[in-house]
Amino acid sequence: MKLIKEQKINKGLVKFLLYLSFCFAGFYSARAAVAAMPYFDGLSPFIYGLFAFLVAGLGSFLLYLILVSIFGNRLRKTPHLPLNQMLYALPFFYIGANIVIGLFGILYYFVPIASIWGEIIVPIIATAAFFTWFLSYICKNYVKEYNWKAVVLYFGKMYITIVGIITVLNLVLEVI
Amino acid sequence: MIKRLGIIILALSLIMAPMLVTQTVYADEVATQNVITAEEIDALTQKICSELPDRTSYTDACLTAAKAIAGQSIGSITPPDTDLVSYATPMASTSSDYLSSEYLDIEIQEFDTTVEVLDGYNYVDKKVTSYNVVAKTKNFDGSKKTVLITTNFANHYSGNEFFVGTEAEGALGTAATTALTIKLANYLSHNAASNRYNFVFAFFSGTDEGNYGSEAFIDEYLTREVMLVINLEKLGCGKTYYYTDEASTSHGDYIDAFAKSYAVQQFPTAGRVLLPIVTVKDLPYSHYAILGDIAPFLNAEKACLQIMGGDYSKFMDSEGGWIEIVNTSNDTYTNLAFYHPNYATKLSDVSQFVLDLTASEKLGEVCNGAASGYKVFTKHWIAYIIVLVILVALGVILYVVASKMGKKHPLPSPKKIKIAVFGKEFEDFNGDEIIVDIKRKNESDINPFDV
Repeated sequence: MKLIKEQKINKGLVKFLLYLSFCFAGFYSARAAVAAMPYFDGLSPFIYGLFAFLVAGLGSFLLYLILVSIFGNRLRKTPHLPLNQMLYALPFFYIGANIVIGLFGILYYFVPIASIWGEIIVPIIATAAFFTWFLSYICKNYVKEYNWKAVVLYFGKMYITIVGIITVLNLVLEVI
Repeated sequence: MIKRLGIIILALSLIMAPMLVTQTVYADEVATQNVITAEEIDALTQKICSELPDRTSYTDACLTAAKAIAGQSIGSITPPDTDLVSYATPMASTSSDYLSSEYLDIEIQEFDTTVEVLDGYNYVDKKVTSYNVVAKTKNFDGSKKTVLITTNFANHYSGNEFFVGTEAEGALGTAATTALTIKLANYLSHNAASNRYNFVFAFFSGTDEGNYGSEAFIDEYLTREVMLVINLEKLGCGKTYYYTDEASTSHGDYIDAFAKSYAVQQFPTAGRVLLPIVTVKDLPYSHYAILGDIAPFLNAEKACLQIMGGDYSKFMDSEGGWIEIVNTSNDTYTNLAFYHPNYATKLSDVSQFVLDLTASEKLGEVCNGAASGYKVFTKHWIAYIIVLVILVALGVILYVVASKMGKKHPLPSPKKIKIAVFGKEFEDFNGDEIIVDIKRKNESDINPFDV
């Protein structure tokens, strides 16, 4: 936590590590999708595995950058909000969540059936847990106690709303 | 002295041991020769490749091949101008006939498939026809259960609406396994009275195009009495694998134990390319063992046993040879014999495995259909509902925690601004107010908000 608070790690390096963590988290699904492409017939598993790894994190990483940019600009004028510190700390917690999701991906290799529900439920639980830890870190280090309620409610509702909308959309598409 | 004696005895043991092992193995080999020999299988494979090199689905050649496999006369066969020089020792053709109608009731099933083809600038639907061969042992005993043994006999020799032609006989791809299945059919039908179960044999086309042959067979022929479906696929290369189902079943557990005595190992599902395509209806992914004709039978909820050749030790589909020949112009009998010289021995071992398994009384007790226990876990929508429930719970927890935070760390009361009209010395300051003194100090106009 001291590393995060004192911002000792270069921001570019943090973003790169975040990208790698998205690759690790999405590798299981990406590998299967890449293997289905005819272009990779006959190639060694290392080649298409490497391609899958690099591609796995691209979409999620770009989405993260876009969302952070949108919400960051919206919150920039909020008084007393330690936005810069939050934007610096958030990737670390996302990396933690992605590592957990990626570890479950390794489990799915051995128990493929677990991936059917696991790929839907585990990311939600992992990101919720690490986002809670992130809010706790921000509140304890940068926010006055009497503002904790406002911060937690605001960002908690935002997280649940975004995830809820995505889940409902996926459910509708699944049923259709 | 004793130490030297011990060393001598140890040395002699090490020298003698290989001889003892060799003699033991030799004795075992002599005692347990497979009923269907490698030589027979090799001879029939060579015959199929030379007489029926073109077995392309959805072509007239497929019908010709189906008739030949069914033991029907198809007129004179002029083998194409192919070089069938084999690197293996040429074997005299022994009993290398096709299916024998003396002990088998044989039918050719015709089935249609609609495919989109480009006609000028538009895609139009076109109906194409292909053929299966279905044979069952005569004098079916109604009191016995039935085992269905299937394989794919077609190849990509001349191309069709689905694939470009390879002009290769499909020796490893389908011919060798077709030869094995014909041998099994003839052997089991000759011994029908002593068989523990009834047997049906099906030779499919349209497999690579989309399992159309096996689907058509299921629509017309699959009965409730079929207790087990054994699908044989691309045998003779690499190792021999078996697969039963994605979850545990009683017949899968039995075959797991049974296979330990044979050179047949369980297909390693873990990490073997779990493709995001659906071949088995309740499974949103697929892997090498369920891409072929076994999938429709799993969908039909039959107990299945897939026996396939290949090398899956490196997580991908491989034949375990120097080059990959299946579905290429290299899939010829010559190359099969060169790159996989022991292919017929492996097929012979598989035949013995199948014969011994289907002679087992316990098999009839353990075949209870496909696995069903995992079906609820394959429904994505249930997982999304669980996520929504989790989110609602998170929302409730959020409000509870936030209100507790609010009570523990309340917002400080807002301070009121009070204008001290007569000067601040006349106001009571209780800490919750900000007093603004507007009285002029001395004679200069100073900012009244300077407190």
